[in-house]
Amino acid sequence: MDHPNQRPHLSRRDFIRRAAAAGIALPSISAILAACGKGAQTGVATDSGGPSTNPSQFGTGGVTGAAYPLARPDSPVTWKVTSDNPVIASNLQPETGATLQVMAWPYYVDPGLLAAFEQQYNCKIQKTVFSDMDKGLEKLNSGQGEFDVMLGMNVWGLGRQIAAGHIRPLNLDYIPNFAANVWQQFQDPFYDKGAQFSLPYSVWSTGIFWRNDMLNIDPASMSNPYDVFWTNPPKGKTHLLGDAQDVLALAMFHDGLTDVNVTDAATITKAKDEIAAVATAAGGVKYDHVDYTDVPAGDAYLHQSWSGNVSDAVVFLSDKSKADVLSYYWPGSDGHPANVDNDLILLLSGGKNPVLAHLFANFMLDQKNTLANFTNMTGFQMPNLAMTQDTMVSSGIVPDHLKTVIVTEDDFTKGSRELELPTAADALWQQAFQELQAGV
Amino acid sequence: MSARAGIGAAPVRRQSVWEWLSNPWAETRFLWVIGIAYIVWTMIPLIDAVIFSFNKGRSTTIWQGFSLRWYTGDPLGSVLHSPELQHAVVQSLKLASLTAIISVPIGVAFALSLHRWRGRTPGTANFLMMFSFVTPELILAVSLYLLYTHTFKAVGTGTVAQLSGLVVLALAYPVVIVRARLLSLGDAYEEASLDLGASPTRTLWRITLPLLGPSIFASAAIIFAFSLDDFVIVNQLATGSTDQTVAMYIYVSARVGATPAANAIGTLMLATSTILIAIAFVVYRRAAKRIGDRP
Amino acid sequence: MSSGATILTPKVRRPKRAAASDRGAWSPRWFWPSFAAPGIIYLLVFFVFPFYVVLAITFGGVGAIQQEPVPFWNPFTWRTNVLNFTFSNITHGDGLYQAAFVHTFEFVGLATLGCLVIGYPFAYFLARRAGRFKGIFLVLFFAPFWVSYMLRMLAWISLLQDNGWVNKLLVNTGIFGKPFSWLAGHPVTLVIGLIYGYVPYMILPLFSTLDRIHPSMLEAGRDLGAGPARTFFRVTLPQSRQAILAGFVICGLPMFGDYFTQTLLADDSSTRMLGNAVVDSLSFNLFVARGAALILVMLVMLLVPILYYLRSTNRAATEGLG
Repeated sequence: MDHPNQRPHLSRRDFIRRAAAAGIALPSISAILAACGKGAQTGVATDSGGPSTNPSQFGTGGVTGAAYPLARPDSPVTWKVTSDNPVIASNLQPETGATLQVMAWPYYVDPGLLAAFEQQYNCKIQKTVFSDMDKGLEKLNSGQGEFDVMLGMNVWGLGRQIAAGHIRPLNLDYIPNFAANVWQQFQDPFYDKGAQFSLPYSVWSTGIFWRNDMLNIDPASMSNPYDVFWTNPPKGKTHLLGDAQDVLALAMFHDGLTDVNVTDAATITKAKDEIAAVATAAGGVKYDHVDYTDVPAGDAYLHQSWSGNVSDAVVFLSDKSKADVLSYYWPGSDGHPANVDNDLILLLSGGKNPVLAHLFANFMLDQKNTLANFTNMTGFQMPNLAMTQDTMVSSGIVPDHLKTVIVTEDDFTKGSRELELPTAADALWQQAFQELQAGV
Repeated sequence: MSARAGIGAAPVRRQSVWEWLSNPWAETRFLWVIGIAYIVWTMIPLIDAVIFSFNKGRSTTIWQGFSLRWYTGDPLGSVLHSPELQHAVVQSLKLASLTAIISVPIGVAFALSLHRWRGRTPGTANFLMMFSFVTPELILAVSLYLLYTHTFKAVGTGTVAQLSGLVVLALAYPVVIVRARLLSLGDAYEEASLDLGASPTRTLWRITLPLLGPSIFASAAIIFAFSLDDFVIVNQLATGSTDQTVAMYIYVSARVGATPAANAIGTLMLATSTILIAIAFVVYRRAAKRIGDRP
Repeated sequence: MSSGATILTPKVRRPKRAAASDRGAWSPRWFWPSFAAPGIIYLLVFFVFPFYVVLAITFGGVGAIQQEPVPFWNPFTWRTNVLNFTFSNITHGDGLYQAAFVHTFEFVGLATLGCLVIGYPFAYFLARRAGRFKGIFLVLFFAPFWVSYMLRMLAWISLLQDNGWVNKLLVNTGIFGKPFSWLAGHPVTLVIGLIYGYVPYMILPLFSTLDRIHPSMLEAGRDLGAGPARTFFRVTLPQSRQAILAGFVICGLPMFGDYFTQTLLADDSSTRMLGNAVVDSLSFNLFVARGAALILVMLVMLLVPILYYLRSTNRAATEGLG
């Protein structure tokens, strides 16, 4: 009878031939050969394989540098609403039996609010979390999923997404809370004149967050508060934010730059080298967005932080008295260069529930809901008339010594903003951040 | 030596320190220490994870008292009340069972074919199968991610994509397990059937497949178990929270600040798979015994 | 189904089984090959073709608005700039990927060795010394295979906190003077984490081999006057050489693609591995092609151990099981 031993023995040559036949080895080998053909080159490859575009086809105003206009405070952009992505008609009934798909940062929307909306409109909400903006954009860019709403896209991500047709234009008739409750300066923002595509979600400042029981520092009294990161940062306990914009901006602010939306390679490289110096001084830094747990838990003593994450840390602490050891300072409050920013509520064109999405945006801008969102979950302030330092402190939500985590309307005149960069410069920023993460 | 090994845990005879030092490999005690230490090392985190699932507070490090808060009590974050957590459990179970249902028949058929098919082609096919088996998961996950985001855009990432990736990982298990069984069974049963005039198809259904039963069952159990726990493929090919599995949920919460809810859901999965494995074990033992009893 | 197949099959002409290797003749020629077709087609679509997508993206272009990768399907239009970039960043000392590249080999090497150092004695114990407790130990040994890896890592995060149990134990026993920040991004934590995660894959082949060594072999060694140590080094160890190599491969290969152990236990630039570089590349449109290129590099690099392993298991299948 037949026996497995009698199978022909597989020789080495047979084996390699089979590998080739299986179609795996060959492409890989040709890849190596192709690579050996040309000398190695460094730098960022930005040559385009797609069709060329004219920025004005997407909107008017702004500065050049990308396939679409780039908004600047002194050069605002009015985006074009196109016929293939129109505004929905007014007075439509919300979709019934729908599942509203919402994308948000972790801990960025109160589940209680979602439940209340579900009940009010008899729908279901499916929430998807992205761990940082790049991951969120990755989800959008891949064109996957039928998301209706995105909570928390940075202003620096907006133009590209509008140009790509991912953002649904707004019908403000459904969103009366916008005109009623939102700060005046966001009624007609420079990055989206007439608020045709976006609504503000949170506002925050970017500053210094530390454990005052572990570190004896007083940045407010320093001629350059940012020195705390360069002079004796706590070893192994120094963390910076986890994105290119904030991290490199830290070095630029440290150098006295007020507009950090730089495009020249030399300034970007210098900023990168300076951050690398922080890493050396601190025996390595971690780049993350979890300051709200890191600092209370003692994983970090010094953290570059968003003010919203600082108040979130208070929300996260079950015992509020523990907040005494937390300190926050925004250098912009004493006239130092610093960042103050907002992010956005966006309705997405891939969503299947446009009316419900509009109603959801309106719901989130309701005064009561805004406060609930802050207190119960996010700790991120919305540019809502109801939210001021005084009301937040007097209501006991924010401890008095941390009241500067509440941004004032006036702060936006003091701080600068991180905005959308020209394509080539964006690549340089991202490249520099990748190098920092890789420790080179 | 073997005799002593057979005694196992029986009291060890007294030895001098010198004997112990000169002869460590013969020393049962030394190996017992290693054996127990290893098991303790693997078990401690499990025990810790299970204990903290019953924590009263939000911490996964500091014990704040016993409660069922994260199972039933918490109105938002507990397994009982959080649709997100429940959905993760459902998605994990769904992916694991579908992966087993799809890959076992394909894999078993593949194994049967390789066992019978002569020539060069089956060798290449088997090579391909085994290659997919040992390729690091990340390579598979990223190449499928690029496939679904740039080529099969109409399908897109999501449950279908996750499933297709898991099946690639799973296919080789039934092939390996069933082939080994086929080799050890030999051809006698099938020859007898064919000689008695049964058609090849009938022989397959009435003789071969029943004989392969235990190994088919074993491969299904293994596939189910690893699909339930898979992270790299499932995470890379997920679109949104509808595709979130328990492993993904725990990973994300571990990174952004975990609450004991992550431990609770992990503990529930642990209980589920322990029960399933126990059932599978009993069934397998019985089936194997029944078939083994045949002459 | 069976009747359907027989209808399609013209009366099977079954020739006498003259040659032993002639088993295919039991049935029509296409009968058995057709069984493999679903598997082959599946692998071609979902395993082989995706590699071509990886190539098309590595050598492809970039979209105008989104800077997203645009695959070039025609090999004659392929551009090599991204692959060149990736290569030079691996080969140059200050390159973006060199540290990750070197770390990957260091950490995987150390962790695989660690797996062997821990796994061999345990496998030996399990196979030869566990005695009547073997069943219990086997069950406990297999437990990690059905317990979520993530859950175990979550538990380690809790145990390794500054105020966690590991530090409490080490400080209270006086081994450490003060708590050590295990999770602050140390290679040692990562390597221990990798060992913890993958050691079962080392033990499995070792155990099955050691368990098969016939006691008579060992007795023969002893009868010939060899002490237990000598018996081990002259009989047991050589017999398990093949299993050690297999363990290295099935333990080491998946580690090369591991990135989550790093992000959970030791997130720091000094501990980044190739897997981290790949995953990070995917989150920025312009760098997706770099991620694809890194995948290619990883695959080519691992081709040798993969092929070695496939060849040796194939040989074992053809020679061993007889």
